[in-house]
Amino acid sequence: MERRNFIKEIGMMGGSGLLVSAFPWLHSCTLEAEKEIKGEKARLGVIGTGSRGMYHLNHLLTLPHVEVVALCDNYEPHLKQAAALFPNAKTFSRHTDLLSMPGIDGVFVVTPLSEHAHITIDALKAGKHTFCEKSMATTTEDCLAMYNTYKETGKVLYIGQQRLFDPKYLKAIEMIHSGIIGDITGIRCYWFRNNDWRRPVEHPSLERKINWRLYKEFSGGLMTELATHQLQVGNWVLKMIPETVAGFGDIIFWKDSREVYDNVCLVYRYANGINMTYESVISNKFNGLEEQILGHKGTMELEKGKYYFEEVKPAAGILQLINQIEHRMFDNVSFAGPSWVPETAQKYQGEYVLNKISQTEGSSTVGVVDDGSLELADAFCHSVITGRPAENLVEEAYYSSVLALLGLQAMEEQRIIKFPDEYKIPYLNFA
Amino acid sequence: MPYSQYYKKSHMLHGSLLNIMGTVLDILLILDNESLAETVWRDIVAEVERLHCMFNRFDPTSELSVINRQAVLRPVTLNDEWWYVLCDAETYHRRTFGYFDVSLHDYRKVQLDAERHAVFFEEPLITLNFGGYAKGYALKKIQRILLAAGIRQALVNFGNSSVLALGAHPHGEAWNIGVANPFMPEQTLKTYTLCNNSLSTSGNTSTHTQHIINPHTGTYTPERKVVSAVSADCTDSEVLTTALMVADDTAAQKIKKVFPATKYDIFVI
Repeated sequence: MERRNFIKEIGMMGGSGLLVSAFPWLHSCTLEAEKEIKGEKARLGVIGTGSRGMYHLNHLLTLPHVEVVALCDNYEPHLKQAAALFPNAKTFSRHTDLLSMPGIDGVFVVTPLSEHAHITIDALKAGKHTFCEKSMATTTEDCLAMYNTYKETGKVLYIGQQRLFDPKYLKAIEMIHSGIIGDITGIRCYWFRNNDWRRPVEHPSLERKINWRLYKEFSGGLMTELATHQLQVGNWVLKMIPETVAGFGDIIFWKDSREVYDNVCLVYRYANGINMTYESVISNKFNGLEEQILGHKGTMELEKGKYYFEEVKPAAGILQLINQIEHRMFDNVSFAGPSWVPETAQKYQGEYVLNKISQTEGSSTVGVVDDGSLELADAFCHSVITGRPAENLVEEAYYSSVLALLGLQAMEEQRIIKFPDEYKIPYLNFA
Repeated sequence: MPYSQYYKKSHMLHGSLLNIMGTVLDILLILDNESLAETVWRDIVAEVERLHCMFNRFDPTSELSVINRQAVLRPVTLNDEWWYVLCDAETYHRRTFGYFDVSLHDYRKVQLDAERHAVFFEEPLITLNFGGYAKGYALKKIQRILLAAGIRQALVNFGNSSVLALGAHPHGEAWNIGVANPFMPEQTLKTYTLCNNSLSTSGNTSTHTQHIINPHTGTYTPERKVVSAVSADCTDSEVLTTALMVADDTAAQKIKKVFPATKYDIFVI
């Protein structure tokens, strides 16, 4: 989505001033901010050119204020496919070599999870603004080390939590905070797929390199790859970090020598007693992907961008009017017509938070179109030029990464884990 | 169960009530006092639920059902409100040359005894139906409650067919409400600028073609037609749209002259 359209879509929220005060990390998405980088380019290196790396590279190709000058991967076929897209970029097989190349302002770290921490820390210390994919790291120690390095160096750090830039999420969260579904009484997050989560491997010796997601040495499995996105949403909605977590995980279906769970079920508990449940099963896709926010007046389904009232279904036009008035706007609304009678109404399907919603059924293992990832990459490149960090973004990502790892620990040790004081960083209720 | 939500930033209460007079009622009212706004909404709910019971012909114990059952047999004495309503229906029947008829048959056969405030049906086929009237009447009552509470800006939507606009949209000069084409909901037939008046719409929809009856012929009008009317008087607009759905062109011209203050449009789709 073009920046202008992005702003227009979420500009329904009353202009960029209000937008940025509610979601401070969006500062660089405003039209005012667009002016400050006019004519400038971010010179970037991309470390990790596998499937997700290529996904980002394709986005970078569309951004006018970006120049990809260096590419790095230690797997030749992946490096080649990226070089075909950016023939003028220099290629490297070691990230340290890329980092010592002059003329690079920022880097993308799109490697297997186990490589995130040391490469990100190296990059920040080398003075590069850094975008690192989520989750942050395989251990809480590494997550904290990344956060501390970010604070110490004063460089820009983005973590790939694209929901923070997804218009339908921004709109829905703003509506939740305005009270449309009443008091929040529960959060249910789930991600169901039915596939083995494997990539084809040309030679058995490459199994762990290509299918790193399935091995504990490199990955936290469903928790670090999927749950981080959704746990972040729960915190965002409640403006709180949960204090305890318990859960169970197992390998029940894909018994193919993988090491990470193919089935997890957890409860994250907030100080006010609210529970956020998290479920993921990858041998049944019936329920798909969703973050459901339960309120005493209604339910918000963030992934679908839809909400449902508990008792009544207000006319769509009325909801449009509420939205206008809340954002000091005025426009025509067309809802008048022959009497609405229950027989003419179909089964209550809920209301959409935006007119245009892009959705995913959650089966992609790479990424989908219009989910905020392009805006996130765009915002990062903007920050690379200005050198200004995105407020609260790393904090949101840090807690979702650490919570995923604490959940993993709870399942592995089969006990209730309390959020450890030593891993609390100043943000929200842990400030 | 009624729903309400007060939007503090906008000083706005949204109230919503489902399954009321066969449809849904939504109200947006602007008032810088949350507890008073909630009280007003509760008063409106109580009043509209009362009217729902009063006009409900599907409930055998409702006042209307009692009238419909007994007025065929003997004169039924009416309370003040029913007396007013039946007289009002008679006036509208006359002013629309019989095209608005709550008896769906021949209102001239509904005898109103002014001395005893009683009603008697001369014709056994008569049964009263206030489908084309009750929502307009309810809007008048709601308007009174809102004004008495000092509310000067509100939008009331009674099932899309009856809309009352008090004052203006907080960020506009009026409430601009469009009539959607029931056969192509994306298309707006016309947008009305409403301020201290009401918009009523009658018509057939793709799923609902047999609900407006021509009292002169006893047949349903199946035309793909929508009639909208705007008036400061909530029942005038309500009655006029029902009458114009069935009136022919000549009759429509005559009716127009009787309601000079009501603007209307007939959309043939």
